Amino acid sequence: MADIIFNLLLFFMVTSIFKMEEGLPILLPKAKSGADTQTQQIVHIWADRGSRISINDKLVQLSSIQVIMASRLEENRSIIVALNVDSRTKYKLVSDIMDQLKEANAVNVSFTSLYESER
Amino acid sequence: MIAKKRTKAEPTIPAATLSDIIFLLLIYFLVTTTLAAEKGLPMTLPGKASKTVKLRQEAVFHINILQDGTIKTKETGPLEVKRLRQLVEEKLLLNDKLVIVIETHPDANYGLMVDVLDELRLAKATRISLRTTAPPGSGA
Repeated sequence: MADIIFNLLLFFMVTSIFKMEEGLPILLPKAKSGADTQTQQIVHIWADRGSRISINDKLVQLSSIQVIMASRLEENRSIIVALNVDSRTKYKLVSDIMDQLKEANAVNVSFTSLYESER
Repeated sequence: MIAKKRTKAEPTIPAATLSDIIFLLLIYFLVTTTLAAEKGLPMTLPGKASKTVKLRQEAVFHINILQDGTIKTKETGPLEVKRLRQLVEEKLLLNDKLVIVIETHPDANYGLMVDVLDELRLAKATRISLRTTAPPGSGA
């Protein structure tokens, strides 16, 4: 019994990720149909109400997203870009970010949302 | 002289409470790993190399999100977000290859677009296109 529990313990210790990206303080939109994203291949892009953009805990200019994402894609072809955007942000910012991603050919995106249960 | 028989006790680590500690650690890691899971609405953007495809009018269904946050379709006029799911489900029954265009005004809230996208995903729509309303006077 103790052996099994010990093995389980080891498993969860190994699989849990401790390094957390801080990002920006935002209010994520809520969605019912949110699907799990595979965390291994995610690149997070954060954007808050004040149109600040952060990748890897560094504030970046909108125009430099393309270069950053292109170099990330060279390392790993199958990355997913998770857009953590404040729900009160103007849509223009999101559309501009997506244009940059398209230019870099980072086509797999996920609009990060909080799970909202169906009523 | 009597050799004193040493009663040599085997040194042991008390293992009775060990499993308790391990069990607590296990519960801790179980809880923290489930919290780490992230949810999102996946979407594939058209890449640089994608061609634009011309579609017939009846194969496209437009949903407009206006600057003030009203959601509008050509047929129904302004409507609530919650009603979109049923509307789209009915549309998809008639034509399962229907392309749905979400046209958002640049000044509308991003959250609204996600609300609409969420409804479409609940209605099992797969062909979704995101577009930004061109500002007046841009000629586009």
